[in-house]
Amino acid sequence: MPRTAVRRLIDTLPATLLPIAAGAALAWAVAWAVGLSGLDAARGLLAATAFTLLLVAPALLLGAGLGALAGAWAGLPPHSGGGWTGRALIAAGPLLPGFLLAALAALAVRSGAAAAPLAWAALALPAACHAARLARPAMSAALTSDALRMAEGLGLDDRTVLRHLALPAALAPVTGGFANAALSALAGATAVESLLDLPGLGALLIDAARVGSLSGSLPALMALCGLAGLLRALGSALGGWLQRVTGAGR
Amino acid sequence: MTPPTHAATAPSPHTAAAPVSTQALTLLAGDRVLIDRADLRLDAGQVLSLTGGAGTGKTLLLRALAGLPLPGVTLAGQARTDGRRLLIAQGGRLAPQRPLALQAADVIGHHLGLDASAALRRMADALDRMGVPPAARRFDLPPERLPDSLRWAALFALGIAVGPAVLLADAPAAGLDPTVRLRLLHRLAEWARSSATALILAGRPEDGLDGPADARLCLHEGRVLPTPPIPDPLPAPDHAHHPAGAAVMTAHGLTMSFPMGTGPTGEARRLTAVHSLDLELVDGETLVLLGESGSGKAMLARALLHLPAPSTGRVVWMGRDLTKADDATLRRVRRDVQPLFPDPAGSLDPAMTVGAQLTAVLESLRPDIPADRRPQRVVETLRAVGLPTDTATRWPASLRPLEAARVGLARALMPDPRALVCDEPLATLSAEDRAEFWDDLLTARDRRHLSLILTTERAEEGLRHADRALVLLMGRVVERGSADDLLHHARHPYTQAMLSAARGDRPALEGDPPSALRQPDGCTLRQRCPKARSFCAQAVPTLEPVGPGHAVACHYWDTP
Amino acid sequence: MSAPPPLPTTTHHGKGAAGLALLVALALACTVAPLLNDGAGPLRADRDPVLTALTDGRGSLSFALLSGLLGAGLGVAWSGLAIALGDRAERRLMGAAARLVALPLALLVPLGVGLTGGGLPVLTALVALSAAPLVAGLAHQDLRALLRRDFLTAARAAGRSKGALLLHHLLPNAVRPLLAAGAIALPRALAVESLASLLGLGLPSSVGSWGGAVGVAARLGDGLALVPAALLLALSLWAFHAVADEALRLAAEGPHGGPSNGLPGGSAPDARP
Ligand code: SF4
Repeated sequence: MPRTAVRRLIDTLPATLLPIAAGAALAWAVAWAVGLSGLDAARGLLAATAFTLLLVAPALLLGAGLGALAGAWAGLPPHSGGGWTGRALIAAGPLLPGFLLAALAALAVRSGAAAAPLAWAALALPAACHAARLARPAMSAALTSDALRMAEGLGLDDRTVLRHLALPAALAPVTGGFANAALSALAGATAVESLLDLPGLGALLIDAARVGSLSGSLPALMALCGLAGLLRALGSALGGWLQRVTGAGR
Repeated sequence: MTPPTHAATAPSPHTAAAPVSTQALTLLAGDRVLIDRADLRLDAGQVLSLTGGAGTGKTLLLRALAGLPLPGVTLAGQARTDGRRLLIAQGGRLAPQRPLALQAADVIGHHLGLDASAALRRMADALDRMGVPPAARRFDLPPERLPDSLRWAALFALGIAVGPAVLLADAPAAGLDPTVRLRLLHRLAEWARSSATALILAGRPEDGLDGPADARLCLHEGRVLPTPPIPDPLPAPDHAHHPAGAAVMTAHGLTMSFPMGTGPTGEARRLTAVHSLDLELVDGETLVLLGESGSGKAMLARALLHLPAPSTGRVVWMGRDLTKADDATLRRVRRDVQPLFPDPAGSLDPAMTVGAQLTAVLESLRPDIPADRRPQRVVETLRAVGLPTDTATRWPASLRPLEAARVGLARALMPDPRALVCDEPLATLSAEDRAEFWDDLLTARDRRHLSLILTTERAEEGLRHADRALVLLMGRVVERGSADDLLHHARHPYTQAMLSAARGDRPALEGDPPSALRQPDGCTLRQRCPKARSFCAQAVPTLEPVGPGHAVACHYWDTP
Repeated sequence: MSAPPPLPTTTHHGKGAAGLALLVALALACTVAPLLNDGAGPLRADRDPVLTALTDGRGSLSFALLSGLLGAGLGVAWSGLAIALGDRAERRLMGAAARLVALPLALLVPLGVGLTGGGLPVLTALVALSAAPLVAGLAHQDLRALLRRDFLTAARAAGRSKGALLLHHLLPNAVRPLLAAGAIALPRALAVESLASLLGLGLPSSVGSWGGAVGVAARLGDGLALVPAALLLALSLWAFHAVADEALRLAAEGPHGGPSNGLPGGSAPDARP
C-alpha cells in the first residue's frame, strides 16, 4: 500500500487501535481486581477482536467491492446480466439486514452446513446491497455529466472514459458510505457470533450483557468501537488507493 | 474590431478547401425542427461566433459537426469537416478526480501518439500561448481543485496542444469574469488564426463571443442568420433626467469582514470583503456599482440595507442612522429602501403564493393602509410591472425567470419606496428577458422618482443606464465618476479593462485575479496591471480627483 | 440546448405508496391475527406459524413506531437546539452527533437492556437514542441550508418580525425536510429492536416480536417458525425504507412543485398567462 495510505492509517490511531488497547487494558485490570489472570483476560479480548476483524473485514471488502461493481454495471445504459445483478441487489437491500441473514445462516448450520462460508456470506450480502445502491446513481450521473461530454468531444475512447471517469465516480460514494456499511456489518457480526456461538467480540459483549456484567461488557464495547474506527480507516485508505489506481493510474 | 462579415454563409466555389461546411443541415427532435437547413462554411484560420439563447440547438449543431451521436435527434442534409476535430463541451468539466496532467497526456497521446513527457512538453508550450504563468500551473491537482479560470485556460491549451483542423467550443469560459473570459477567448482566437485552425465559439448572445470572432452568426428560430452588427459607437447614455437633489443615503467607513478561523500562530483571522468605503446616493439618481466576482459589491449592497449590518462604519438614510436605529425606525427605513435580489426566484418563499407575500410586505411596512385595501394594491402593483393579476394566486415555483424578476420588483415597490438597492437583478435572465426587465426597472424608476443603487459586472450596460458609477476592486473603490466620464474617459486600468471586455475587445489585463485570502500588498491589481511599477507594491493607491466629480485610485493614472 | 436528453427526474411515487400500503396491510393483519388464533391467547406451541408471526408483529410494529417517532423527535429537537444556541454550542452539539453516528450504537441497545434488566421504557429510550444522532445530523444540514436561502433575507427586508419569520417562513419550509430526516428513524428503530430481540435482549417475550421469534427459531433450528417471522420482518423493513425514501424525495421536490434548494427549474407546470 502506498505511503500516504499508511500515513492516513497512522492519523486514525486514536480512533482505532487506542480504544482496542484501552479495552484490553480494562479487561486486564478487571480480571486482576477479582484475582484472575489479567494477561489471559487481555489476551482473550484481543483474540476475540482479531476473530471479529477476520470475520467482518473480508466479507465487507468483498461485498462492497462486488456490490459496487454490480451497481456501477446496473448504471450502464444497455441492460445486461451484470446490470440485473446490480438491480437485484439494490431492490433486495432493505429486505436483507445482516442479522436476518445471520439467523438464516444459523438455521442452515443447525441442519449441517459449514459455518464459515455462511457467516461470511451473511455479512457480505448486505454490504454488497449497500454498495450497489450507492454506486448505481453515481454511475448514471457520471454517464450524463458534462465531463463525459467533454471526454467524448476530446475524442477519448470508451475504455478510457469508463476507467478514468465513470468508474471512479461510481466508486466514490461507496468509499464514502463504507463507514455505515462497516457499522451494519459489526451489528450483523454480533448476531452471527451470538447465534453460531463463535468466539468473537460481539458474542463476548452479548454474553456479558446477558449476565448483566458491566465490567465484562465494557472492554468488549471499547474494542468494538475501536474496530469500527479501524474498519472505517481501512475503507478510506482503500478508497484513496482505489481512486489513485482508477483515476490517476495509467 | 473587424467589421462583421457574412463569409461564413456565402457559398464559395472552392468548397473543398473549407475545413467545415454544411449543406442544408437539418436537425429534428421528434417532429420539432431544431436547426433548419443550415449552410455553414468556415475556412482555415477563421473564427466564427455562433450565438443563440437557451434551447436553440447550439450544442446539437456542434455535436453534429464533431460527428458525435445525437440521441433522440434525426439529422438530415450534410455536415462535413476535414481533418482532426475537437469539441470542448459545455461546462468545461473534466474527470473530476484525475490530475490534469494525466488527462492532458491521455488526450494528446491519443491524438498525436506521443508519450507522456512529450505530450506534457506540448501542453506547456500551449499554456505559454494561453498566457498561464509557470507558477500557476498546478496540474498535479485534479481539475475540481483548480480555479475556474485556470481550468478553462488549461482546456483551451489542451485544444491548442492537439492542434486540430477544427476546434469547436461550446459556451467557452462561460461563468468567468468578463475581463478574464475575453482575455482567454482572444488568445484562443489569435492562436486559431495563426495556426490555420477553424474555430467555432458557440454560446449565448450575452457571453461576448462576437468580439474575438471574424464572422458572426446567430441562431434564431432554427435558422442560422448573420448576427446583426453591433451599433458602434453605442448610443449615448440616456440621461433624460438630471438629478440634482440632496443626498438621501450616505455610508461612511463601511467595512465588511468575516471570521476565518485562526491562523497558524493562533491569531484570529478575518477576511475583509469591503474596506472602509464611503458612498453617497443623491435623490433620484441611479448609482451603479461595477465590479466582478470578489469585488465586494454584493456584500456592500446588503450592508447598505443592514442585511446584515456592516462590521464597522455606518449607513444613514435621510438623517436616520441605521446603526443606532431601533426596530420601529429600521422598519421605517425599510419602507423607504427596498432590495432586489440576484436570484429573484430564490428570494420568494416557495411555501407562500405571490399574493400572500406581497400582502405580507404591506402588513408589516404599511400599517397605515387598511387591510381591505391591500388586495387592490397588490393588483395595481402587479399590473404596474407588467404581470397579469392572476399572478397573485400562483406559487413561486411556477414562475418563469422573467416573471419571478417582475414579482421581485413588485414586492420591492409594494411599500412605495424611495430607493431600491438592486444586487445584479438581471443575473438569471436571458438576453431578451434582460431587455424587458431593464424597461420595467427604468419605467418604475422614472414614474416613481426612485433612487437606484445597482450592482453589475457588465460595465457598458450598467453605465448606459446610470448617472454615476463606482468601480469596485477587491472591496475598494478604484474609480468614481459620472457615467459619461467612465464610459468615455475611464482612467483606471481596471475600469478600462472592464469596458474593453464589455465591448468584446481584449482587456489589457493579464493573469487571474488573486485569491481574496492572499491579497497582494499595495495595489491589488498590480499582478495583472500593464502599467504596474515597483511603487505599486508599496502603497495602496487612494482616490484622488482627476476632474469634477471624477476620482481615480491609481498611482499612475496619468501616465499613458 | 443540452445534446443528449437529460435524465427524466422520476417523480412517480409508486414505491413510497406501495411501502405505505404494505405497512397498513401488515398492521391490519397483525391486529386481526390474534382473533383468528382460536381465541387461545398467547399460547405458542402447535399454532399456525403464520398466525403466530402475525401476532408477534403487533409488538414489533407498534414498538418501531413508538421508538422511531421518539427518536425522530429527539433528533429534530437536537438539531433545533443546536441552531438556536448557535456558534460554539452548535458546533459542539453537532460534532457530538457526528461522533456518535460513527459508533456501533445499535449494539448499545442489547447491552443497555442486559445491564439494566430491560423493561419497555429503557428499551424505548435506548432505541430512540440510537436513531437520534443520525436524524439530528440530517435535520441540521437541512435547516442550515434553509437558513441560508435568500427568501428569509427578503422577508427581513420586508420588515417581518422574528416571530413572523419563524412561523410563516421558516416552519412551513422546514416541515418537509424535517419529516424526511425523521422518517429515517423508523426503519432504524425496527432494525435495532429486532437485532436486540434476536439476541434475546430486546422486547420482553410477553410482548412478542419478530426479532425474538427469529432468534428463538434459529437457535432451535425451527425453520417453520423462522421463515414467516423473517419474511414479515423483511417486508416491513422494506416498507419503512420505501416510505423514508419517498419522504426524502418529497423533501427534495420542495413545496408546491418548487425545488427545495431554491434553484429554478423544478417540476413546475409551465403556467403561462
Ligand atoms: S496603482 Fe499601479 S498597479 Fe494599481 S492600477 Fe495603478 S498602475 Fe496599475
